[in-house]
Amino acid sequence: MKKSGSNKVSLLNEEFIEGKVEQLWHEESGVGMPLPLKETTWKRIKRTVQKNHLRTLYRIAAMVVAILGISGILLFRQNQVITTVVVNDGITPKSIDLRDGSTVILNRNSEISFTTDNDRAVSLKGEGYFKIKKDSLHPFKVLTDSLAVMVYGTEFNVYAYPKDQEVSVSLYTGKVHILETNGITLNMSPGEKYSKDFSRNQTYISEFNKKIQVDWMTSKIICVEMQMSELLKKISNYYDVDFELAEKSIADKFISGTFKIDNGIEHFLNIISFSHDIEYTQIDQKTYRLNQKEK
Amino acid sequence: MRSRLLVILSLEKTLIIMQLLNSLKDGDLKALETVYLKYHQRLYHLAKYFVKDDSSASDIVHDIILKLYHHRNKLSTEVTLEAQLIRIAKSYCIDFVKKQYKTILTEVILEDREEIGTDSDYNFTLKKELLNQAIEILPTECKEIFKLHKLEGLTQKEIANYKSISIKTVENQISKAVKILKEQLQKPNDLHYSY
Repeated sequence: MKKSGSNKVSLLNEEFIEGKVEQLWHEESGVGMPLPLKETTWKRIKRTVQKNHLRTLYRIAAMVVAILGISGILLFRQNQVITTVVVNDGITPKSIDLRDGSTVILNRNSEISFTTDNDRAVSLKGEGYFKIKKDSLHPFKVLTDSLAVMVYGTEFNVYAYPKDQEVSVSLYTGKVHILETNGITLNMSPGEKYSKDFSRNQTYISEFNKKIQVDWMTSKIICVEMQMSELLKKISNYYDVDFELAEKSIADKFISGTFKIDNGIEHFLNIISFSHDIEYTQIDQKTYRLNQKEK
Repeated sequence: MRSRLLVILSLEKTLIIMQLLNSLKDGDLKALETVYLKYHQRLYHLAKYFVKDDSSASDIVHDIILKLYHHRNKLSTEVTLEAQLIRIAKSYCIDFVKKQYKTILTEVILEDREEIGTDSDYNFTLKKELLNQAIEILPTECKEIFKLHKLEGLTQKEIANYKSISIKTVENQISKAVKILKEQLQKPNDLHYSY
């Protein structure tokens, strides 16, 4: 059945968006940009620009050295490298389109950076879900502090928060190669999760629950009999906070349920304090202390 | 006399703007700041149409200004800076909406049973509107069941009871919907589905 789509195409129609932008631009704005926001936004712009400049400068410096040694041909090709840093410090995941057509959904408290001289490589701090466009000639690389993931076209999740002792890669479709810093390489098949625990220096390959691994994309943490220590780790990464446990036993508790990340940390703490008889106190802006309620 | 003065004045204004454009092309950060200070309210107003929260709005302003900066070598001195900024904003917003559309598709596919459509945390109507548009492409029967499930939050069993059909049928329709939406997602850039 053909549907008459007179008014429903609207939002995805390029002309409509262009017209809307034009209209908004010339419209009297009702609410102005709040002053602090105006300032922080400018600071961010400046930082990004300066980062790029610095990068360009490094490049040029490196080139000068290269010239002395080899030849100067490369100079004019490469001194215009721009680094883009995307930081997600908001409360919702952020979707980023890369120039080669791949997409990254970036979790909270995470950042990726990439340069204009290589479309097929990004650096990741934190967690991201990657949908990589197929290109059998050019592998796509995701670099973290501790390992590199090399792929040709696939979907996978990378978890690599700098303060965490664990890094993991969960593969949804396609094939990936993992390169550890010590030179060891591994191949993964769909449905497998690779994780490395640096505190014990152990590597695991296991199966994983496809929905739970990327629960963060839907602003939720799904726990099925999850150990409290595990959950606290996730929470501390997502909100960029730390937990202090008064009793070790808290870490060993199990918890089931679904938490909405967008509801804020207090909401989460209230639930666990209710369900597991835990009291919490905020020590400073980034630290919470948990202790068992006295019976 | 008066008109000549006006011509000189407007000429001077044009010159200042030309200068601004030229220093911007040289990569002058001060020039970029001037542009930002001049247009941030308009950009913010624009961003607020697409997103609700300030942090996302700030992202959009940041991105558009940077896009201008990255394109500085391609800026024309024949056309006003404002017109070129608007052009950049337009192409940015088109990308933005497309991206949102893909995000919402991903969300709706990944979610098991969730009241996305009624979730007030979400970026207001843009996302909701895009979601509705995504659902609109489904066949009638499929659409109705999918809506009950995803938007009204009914369980498969409740839908089966309500519509007096078997749970199997409900399941089939929902997986059919997910399949169609997935296909949408995989289409690279063509988001026009009015066929």
